[in-house]
Amino acid sequence: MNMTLRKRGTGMRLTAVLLAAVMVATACGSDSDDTSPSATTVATETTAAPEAPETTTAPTTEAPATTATPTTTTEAPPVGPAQGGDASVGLEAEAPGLRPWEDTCSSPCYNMMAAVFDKLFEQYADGSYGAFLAESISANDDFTVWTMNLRPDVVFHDGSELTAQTIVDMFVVHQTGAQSAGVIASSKLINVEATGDLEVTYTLSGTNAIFVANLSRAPIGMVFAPSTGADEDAVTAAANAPIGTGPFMVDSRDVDNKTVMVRNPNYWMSDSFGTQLPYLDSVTFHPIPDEGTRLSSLASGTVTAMQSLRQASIRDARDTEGLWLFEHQGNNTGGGMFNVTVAPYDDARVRKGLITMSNQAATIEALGGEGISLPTTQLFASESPFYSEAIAAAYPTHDMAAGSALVQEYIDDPDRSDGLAVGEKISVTLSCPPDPTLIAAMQVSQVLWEASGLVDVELTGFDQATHIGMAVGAADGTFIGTHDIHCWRWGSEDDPAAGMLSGFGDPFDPSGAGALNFSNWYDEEAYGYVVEATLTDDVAERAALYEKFGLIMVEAMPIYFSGGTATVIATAEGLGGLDSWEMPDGEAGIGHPSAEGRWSQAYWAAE
Amino acid sequence: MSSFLPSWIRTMFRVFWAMPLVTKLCTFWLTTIILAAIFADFIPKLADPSYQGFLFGTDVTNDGQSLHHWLGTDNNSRDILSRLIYGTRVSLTVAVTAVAFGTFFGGLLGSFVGYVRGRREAAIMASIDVILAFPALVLLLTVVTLLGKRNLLVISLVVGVLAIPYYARVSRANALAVSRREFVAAARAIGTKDRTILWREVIPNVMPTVLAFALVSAAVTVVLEGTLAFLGLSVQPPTPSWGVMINAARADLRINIWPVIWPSLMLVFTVYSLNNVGDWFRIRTAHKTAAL
Amino acid sequence: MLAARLVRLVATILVVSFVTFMMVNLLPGDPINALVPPEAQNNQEFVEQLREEFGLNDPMMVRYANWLGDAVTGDLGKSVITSQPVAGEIWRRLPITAELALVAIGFSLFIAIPLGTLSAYKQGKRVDQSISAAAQVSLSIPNFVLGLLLIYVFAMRLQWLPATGWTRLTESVSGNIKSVILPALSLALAEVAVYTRVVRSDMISTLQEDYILSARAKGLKDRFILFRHALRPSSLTLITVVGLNVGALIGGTVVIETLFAIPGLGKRLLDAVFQRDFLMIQGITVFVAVVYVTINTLVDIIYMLVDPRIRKKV
Repeated sequence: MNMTLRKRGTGMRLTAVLLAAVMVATACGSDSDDTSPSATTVATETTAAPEAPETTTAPTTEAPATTATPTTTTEAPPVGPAQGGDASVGLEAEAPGLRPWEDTCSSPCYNMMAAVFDKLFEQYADGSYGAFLAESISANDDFTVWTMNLRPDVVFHDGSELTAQTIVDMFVVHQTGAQSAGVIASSKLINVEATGDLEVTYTLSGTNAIFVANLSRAPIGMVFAPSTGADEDAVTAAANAPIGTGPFMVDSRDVDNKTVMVRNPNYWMSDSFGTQLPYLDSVTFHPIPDEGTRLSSLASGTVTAMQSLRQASIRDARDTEGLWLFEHQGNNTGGGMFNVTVAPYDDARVRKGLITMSNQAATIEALGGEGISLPTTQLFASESPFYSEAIAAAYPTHDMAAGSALVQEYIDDPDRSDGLAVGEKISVTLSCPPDPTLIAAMQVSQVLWEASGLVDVELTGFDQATHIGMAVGAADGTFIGTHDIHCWRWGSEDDPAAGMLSGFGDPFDPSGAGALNFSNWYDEEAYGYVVEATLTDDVAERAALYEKFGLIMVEAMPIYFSGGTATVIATAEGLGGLDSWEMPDGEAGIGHPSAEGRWSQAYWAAE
Repeated sequence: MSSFLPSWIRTMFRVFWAMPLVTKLCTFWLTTIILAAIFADFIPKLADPSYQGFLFGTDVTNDGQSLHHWLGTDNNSRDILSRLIYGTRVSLTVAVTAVAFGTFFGGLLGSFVGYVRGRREAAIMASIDVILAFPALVLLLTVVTLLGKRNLLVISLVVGVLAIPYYARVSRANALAVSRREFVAAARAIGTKDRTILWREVIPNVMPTVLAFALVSAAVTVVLEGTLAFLGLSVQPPTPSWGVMINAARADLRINIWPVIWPSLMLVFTVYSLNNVGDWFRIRTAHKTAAL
Repeated sequence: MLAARLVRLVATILVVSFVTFMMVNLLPGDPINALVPPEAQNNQEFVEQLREEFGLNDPMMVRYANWLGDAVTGDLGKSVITSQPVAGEIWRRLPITAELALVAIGFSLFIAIPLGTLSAYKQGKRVDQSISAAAQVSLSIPNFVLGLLLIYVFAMRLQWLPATGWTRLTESVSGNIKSVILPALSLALAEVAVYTRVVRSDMISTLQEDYILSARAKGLKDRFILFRHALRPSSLTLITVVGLNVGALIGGTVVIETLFAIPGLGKRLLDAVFQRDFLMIQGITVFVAVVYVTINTLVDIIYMLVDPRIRKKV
């Protein structure tokens, strides 16, 4: 089978515009006291490219679920990209390093990495994959051999050229990379070969129909200069002086303080009007861990943008004048998972009972996210092609009586698994990383569960590393974790295949397939659907398979949801373009999921 | 004061009346919060510090001051006043444990080595010097992380154990001085056993200074616990603690400063009171010791 | 005598490093967990290779000996999280923390010396009492509470100074001054109280010395006497107390650097503690302890050299 990456048709585009309009309306609904123009009215003309014929569809309207809401302007400014200017971005954390294959990275760090590195593939606004630094890719019939062609005439910041050999050299580094080694294993990648100047052939050990998704993620998808992997010193140096092909080059980096990046004058990409990117002359990243001071820094002009994954910060940002907000929720959701091998969580009645007692709306309110974050019922948001109405309907809604009844049934069961006498309360331990937001959420669950009079709840807090250490299973299935109920966060806009495969495997499989199955819940039939979904690239077919899986899971209830995670990139009025960046083919990119901004096409709006 | 009262109460009142006004107020404040912390469960109309009314439709989150909630509610709709009062328990428990451990183990150890001198003193003081070579907070941070599980008992014990060397140093210095006094020399001259001298002469004369130090060190301990809590390393939720409250509320400092102000005031008042009363006792004991 | 002091210093440093090493290595949780992302946790070969790389398979004493051997040559290993050399990280951050601490000491002495002197001069008068009272209050405000208030007033409301971040001296002098003021003030206030008391009590005893009385009898101006004759002997005690307070100051920088997001040693230490970056915790803690012990020894030695009474006693 030979496939090239599809472009979305106009039908899809129309849907996206409509969807965006709906989303904008929703977002403005709460505070529509003024004629505040939503992003839909922004950017109708561009000054940077006067020869452009007509750009009636503003790029800003294309990304679903993203809204830039200027909070103060009363009149739509005739904005468009202006060349030049600087941006300084307050991030919620410092990047431990800027090596995609090595350093642990999350939202703030991806803002920085994406400025330095280009990925081979990126996602369109609808979540499908498109060529970025690559030009095309095709697979054989059983998706085990993938042939990719690279974009010609791309140079790195150090002047070296991007060739097929670069990708081969990268693979050497990838095999020992802390982040990439796992991705290589789960994607079944075993060999990378240069089969032409710009042609690379990937060989897999088994079928993986969504291999492209791996090439769109940082660990093995971001392309770095061959000199990076020269020796150990070079690898160490790359953490703070990375060399990519991206729109910005690291000028100076003072860890925990600021990282200054300047425009890459030789950047390969131009916007759809032929203007060379990036628009900005420089972008500086400041880690500002404290939520309150980060927003203050933006309000007082110390920085010109900030990102946040905290709902109360979004609420506060909405109340702050003179900001543009780029909000996004997407598939990102918080929740918890039960260790189903430990009593009393090994009984589905307990799990379901506790979940039924939980109250997502209240949790969201305690987090300050009322009217900001949406409740969730599954791993996919309603905009996702994998979202299932059936699962949404099957997911329990808050009902103290029904929840208590389920737990009561367990308590009255003479064969109850925790070995306590009939009638005794169950005791559960809920554990979250020591983050004030999660602690607030955890305490809501505690009060509700204890209010039933049937449950004793103990709360503990462990940092992420300990958390994972307690939950991760041994490869041989002998150790299935010492955890009880864990706070967790799921979901990204990435293709779900890889995560599902490793997250729901058999924890007792000697091959270690289920070592990452932190809840230790394994259902042979359900897992079969997950495996089947990696054998086809047809989205509808896969969605049906994930729905089958999800319907079994929603009955077993190994995990629960406590509400979506809304995210925001807030900018000083006039700094836009985060939601409207385009792929090389001119189609809209995915925007800014999880507050991961692509600063390559950010701009100060021209007057 | 009538003679119906037992003598220790009369002594307490006499001491109280001898204090300057500010010290009286401080003593009053300390007494109040100690009583409130102990009897919090019996204060009429005081809300349960973990009760989240918004879950049951009775309260709202982040409420301002009202008749129902004098200091408002936090983001879980819990009564801030109640959490302040219950939070006192954490600060006081940690302080009391530190004082108890310090006075008992540190005081005895210091008195002992200060009196016996010699190789034993050198060895013990050397190991104490090692512990004191770490800045207190740095050591505390590492140990607390090391223990993983953090509840009031663990935090109190860690702070208590870490207080011992400081007390040992203070009491040793005093024991050295006391050992040189005439009455000790006299006791030795008449052949009294060392152990008897230690218990009868040295320790009773070292303790007043140690106790005055105890109040000041309690202030330090309260700040230490607050700092740990502020860094997210003290007691686990839902146990309220002033530092935890400040930490939880500071992200929204810009929007609403009050949830930060209240626990901060509790901390400052309490630490000030301990320092003030401690200082007063220190000066008083110093005068008394000098008069010996 | 001096040699004995130095031997003791080295011995203390050795013991301190050993104690730190043991403590850090007893931290719960496998440091590998911090290093390996979830997806790679089941890749035994890879995990094993990392364990080998960081020497986690050797016995504890062997690891300590190796670490100490390297440490003597200035190699403190590399961070488990960022794989950057620990020693480099310390040198890069030391100037920031040192500046912060020095400015804090400067601020506090700048305020404390005049106040303490005035207090001593007006001993028992209302001015003295007010200063003592103020000192007691300032001693009772935890540095993080003060820091938050300063941020609220000067950064959030008045917007005069930045709430977070750091501008290095080499980058911009004015920027550097702006970024140091609030954190240094937060650290300084408690010190002010301590130093004021020291200056006051020392001054009071100095003022009763014969040479001061004779200077007064000669009709020299009070101010002249205070600052020329009386202050100098007091400065010795002050140096000692400043030295002793370095420990509290270092503890303070951990909190204040975290609050103000200053890229100094203290913040790095706390981050390392949270990330279980064991070589980083070890490196910074030992470094800090060594600095602290050394400063105290130096203070002792200066004291011994300067004050003959003590020299005789020891």
